[in-house]
Amino acid sequence: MTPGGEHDTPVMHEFKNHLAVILGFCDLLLRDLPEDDPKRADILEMRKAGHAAMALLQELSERMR
Amino acid sequence: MDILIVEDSPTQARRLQYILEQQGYQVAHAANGRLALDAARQRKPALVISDVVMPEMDGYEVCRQLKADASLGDVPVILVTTLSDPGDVIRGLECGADNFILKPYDEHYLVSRVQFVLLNREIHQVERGGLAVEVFFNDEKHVITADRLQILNLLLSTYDAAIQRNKELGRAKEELEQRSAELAAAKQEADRANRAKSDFLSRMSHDLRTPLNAILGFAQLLEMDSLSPEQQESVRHILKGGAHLLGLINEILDIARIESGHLSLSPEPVAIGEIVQHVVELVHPLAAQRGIAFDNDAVTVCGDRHLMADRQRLTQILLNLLSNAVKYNREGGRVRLSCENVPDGRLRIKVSDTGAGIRPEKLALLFQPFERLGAEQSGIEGTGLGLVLSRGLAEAMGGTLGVESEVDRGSTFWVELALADPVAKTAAASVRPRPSGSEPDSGVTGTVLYIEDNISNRRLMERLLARRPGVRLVGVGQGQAGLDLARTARPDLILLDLHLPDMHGEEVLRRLWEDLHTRAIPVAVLSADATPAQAKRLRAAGAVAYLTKPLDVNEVLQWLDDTLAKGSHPR
Repeated sequence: MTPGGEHDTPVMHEFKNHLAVILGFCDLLLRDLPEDDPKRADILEMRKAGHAAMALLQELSERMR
Repeated sequence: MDILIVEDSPTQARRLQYILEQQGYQVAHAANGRLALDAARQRKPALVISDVVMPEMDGYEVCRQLKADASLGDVPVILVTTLSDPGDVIRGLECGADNFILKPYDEHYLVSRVQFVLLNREIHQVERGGLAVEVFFNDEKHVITADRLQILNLLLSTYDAAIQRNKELGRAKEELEQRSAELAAAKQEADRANRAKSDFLSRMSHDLRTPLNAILGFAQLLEMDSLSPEQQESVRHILKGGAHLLGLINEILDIARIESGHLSLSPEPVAIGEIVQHVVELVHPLAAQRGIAFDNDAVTVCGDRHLMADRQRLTQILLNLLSNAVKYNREGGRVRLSCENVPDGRLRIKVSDTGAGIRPEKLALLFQPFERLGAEQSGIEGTGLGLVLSRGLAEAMGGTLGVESEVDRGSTFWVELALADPVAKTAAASVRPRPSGSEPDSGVTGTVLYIEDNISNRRLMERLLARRPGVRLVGVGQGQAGLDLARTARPDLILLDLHLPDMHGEEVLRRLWEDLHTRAIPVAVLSADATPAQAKRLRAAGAVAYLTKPLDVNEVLQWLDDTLAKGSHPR
């Protein structure tokens, strides 16, 4: 858990894996819903937040190296 | 020139002999006083160096007998001693010793003493048989028969020994000071690194929690909408993934807090039976899914005993142990609970399963972060942090956590904590049924001001309040703008985030309270940093509620309904 320590990889891996799952299901939902469905806005918010978290993890990964 | 060493320790003797031989002296060694006297009579040495503490005959007696011997009386005798007792000097004078060498000695000091004594022997013709001098020391009379020069030399050698010891102490002190400075610097560096690590983890946790809260909030909203079974399944996966990551963040933060010593605990006497019962109820659905039965009733097993523990943290430990006992059990297996008194007024709570067990060489790995002993291949969910955290929590509460396991038979995990006297029972915390605010519209009306800089969170609240058409939401991203709006718009309710760009939420809360125009507006704090101490502080500062992120959408709707229905609250 130490920044730059030996446990960085598992925690990053865990985070990225689960975020990827979340983003994957967001995409699945968006694919299923018609363009004018009001629920799309919520899913797009979730996807945006998921990408923001992914970008943050990427930044942390780079800083830990 | 012959030197006779009298020393019972072969190692010491060899060292002394080596040093002297390096200086060109002929050296003989006797392992005790009797052998030394025989050796000296056979071949008269130029000098005798004798250890003081020896079995049968000590160095003083060896010296006394040498000095009493007519043919050996002029042989100088150096006694090797620690000089830890002032009586050593008197005993040295009494036996007629010529010099002391302080033990432990360095080579240079030893050689200079030997040279000094031998030189004195050559220069001075010792006249023995002078008048005896009577000395009183420690209420005892001592008769000194040595000549003046001998006495002077011996006393000078004690003075020299004192200086030598003083130098050594000075050096030791310097070394000690240097070590202390090094240790202080190392500690400072370790503290700095620890702080940096904690800060880093706190920032990471906070930064990651914000998007996760948004994901969980919107997923909860979607769950309330009408969805096809496939869409419901997708939303469930999103909720599960988000909750898992949030749990992971919380566990990492807790471990960081334990490591840095910043974990805040509220120890109190806790009725263990109640807690175990509560945890069993929580784990029961998972156990039922896998056909796993609990062998016994927790309350009966633990009785009405109390433990000194932080209620929430003890629950967390037991939930971890019990859910592990279910997760890593075999289908249709059993979980057994037991409580036993152990010495020093402690209680051990044991959770045994009938799973595959753990091989002895793997047991130590169990408490390594992220070590799942291959369970990641089995599809069993987990972060590999639960046991690390549980052990850390148990230790932070002054307890221990351990495991015993037998392959193919199962494992027993136990936590041990101090027993406590029960206190007068306070009203049991009321367990509120899970609010079901998902009904279309409760009909409440009013204006809600949401002071929150994160747009996703504001958008989530907007979507959430879309389920309450009579409620108008006004959102602002800065503390000052929020204060201004509170004065002018006079909302019925204020929702306040703590991490604002221009001022801390607590400051906003204080100013709202100080301003008579805004004092009556109920304020609820919404934050992800939910420590009990912080919640208590904010309530004391005037907050009517503390809602933790990720928001439980139903709970928030229920709370908004209740608060707005009551109208304006005096704070």
